[in-house]
Amino acid sequence: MSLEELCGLKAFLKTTNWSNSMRQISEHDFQEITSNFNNPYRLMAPVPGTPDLTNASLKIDHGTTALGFVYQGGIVLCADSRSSSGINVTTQTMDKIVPVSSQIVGTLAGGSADCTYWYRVLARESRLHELRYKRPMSVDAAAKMICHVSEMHRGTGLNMGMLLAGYSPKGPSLVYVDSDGVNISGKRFSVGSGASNALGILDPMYRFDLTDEEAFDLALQSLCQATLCDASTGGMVVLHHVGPAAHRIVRKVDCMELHKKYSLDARNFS
Amino acid sequence: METLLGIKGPDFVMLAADTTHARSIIVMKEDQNKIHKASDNLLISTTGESGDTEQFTEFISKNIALYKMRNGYDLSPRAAAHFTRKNLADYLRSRTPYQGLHVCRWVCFRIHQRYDETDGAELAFIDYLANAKSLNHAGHGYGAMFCSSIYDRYWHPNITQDEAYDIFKKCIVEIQKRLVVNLKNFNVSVVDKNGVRNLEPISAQSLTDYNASS
Repeated sequence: MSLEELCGLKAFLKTTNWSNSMRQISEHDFQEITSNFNNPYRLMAPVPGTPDLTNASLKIDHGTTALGFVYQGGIVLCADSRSSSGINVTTQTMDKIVPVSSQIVGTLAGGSADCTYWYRVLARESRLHELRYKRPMSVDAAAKMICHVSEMHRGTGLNMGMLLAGYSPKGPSLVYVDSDGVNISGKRFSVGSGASNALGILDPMYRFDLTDEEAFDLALQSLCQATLCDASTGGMVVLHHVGPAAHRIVRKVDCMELHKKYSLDARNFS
Repeated sequence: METLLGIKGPDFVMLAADTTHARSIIVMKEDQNKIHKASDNLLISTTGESGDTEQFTEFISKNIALYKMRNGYDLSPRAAAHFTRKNLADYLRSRTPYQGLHVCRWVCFRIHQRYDETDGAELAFIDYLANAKSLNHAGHGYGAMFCSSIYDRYWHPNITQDEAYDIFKKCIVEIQKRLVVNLKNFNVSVVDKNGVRNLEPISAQSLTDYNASS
């Protein structure tokens, strides 16, 4: 099959002829392959053994900067919207901050396909949780779910990093989870290829008692710096605010506008 | 890069663990507690691949809790260490594409310790190759390389909790002086016949006027 060749799958897919094996596919096999329709946690089993994805010429979409921090007025999440595949920019309008439920917002970083799939599973599960138990899923529970997924798919090339933000009766919580099974809660995180650039601005200027406007400004400034220094970060910068009652998009700005604003600021400052 | 330290005394075991959580070159969190309370008188501190350590520690502590529920009494200290070791050994030799292989490969240098009413204190040193050894003092990670000499010099069989805490201070002073990685804070916990207690964390700040030679 041409797609198989294009992806370089032949090198590690030991099946002799895919089209032949397709013909022999039984009802049972078919159900196995599409098992994720019935149970989202089940994906078709990967190639026996651990597939070595380093030899596959798969270009997985990645390159992002997303940041989030907790301050007195809630949680701020900020991310760019560029999605790139190798050296190519695939889209400039990808939504990387997505609502998981009415209480939880997440940011996506890493392989777009992985992130999108597992985000949808998470959204579905949290909705079902709400219907079953008549209370929203907590951020920790959502994080644990992603953590288990990561653990289930260790070594299969799963690649994602998420920030989950939300409010519980105990207060705001911000959790970082990724495909290594890491699950840490904290006050201030940045994920993606431009993370170190964003942290350079965010860390020294962060205070817990920022006002709303100061917090938004700080998030935009940090992300603006990341779009300058990191090639795979850019496009529209989206700023989300998660408050005790609801979450909302505060601003959606083209990073060019931010460059104009903040580089001028920088010049005045010096 | 992470460091765990442990000292066994006649009737207690004290553990120290740094609180830095790093991913590649970025420090993600500066107050991560790596000393987990597995039961009323059992502490587990773990270091290694962060996802694995968390998953594995949770697996072990939940199983220890399950054992108590089923039998009405706690797993003995040696049994808990053996259970942990057996799991690591099984993972090490498994070929299952999921948890098995991966959990074992990277996980868990770990110190595993508890205080038991009948057997007294026990400090088990367990690593990812499924070595398990009962020791008087132990350490994991790069930081521990500087500590063995300090343990040898200052540890004695009748050591008190204050002395053990002081040994940790000496170790941490040395780690912060000589180790290329910045490990600012260390959490300290102790388990004795009264159960588990968290002691004052040892940080660069708290050590400013500490004289290690005294």
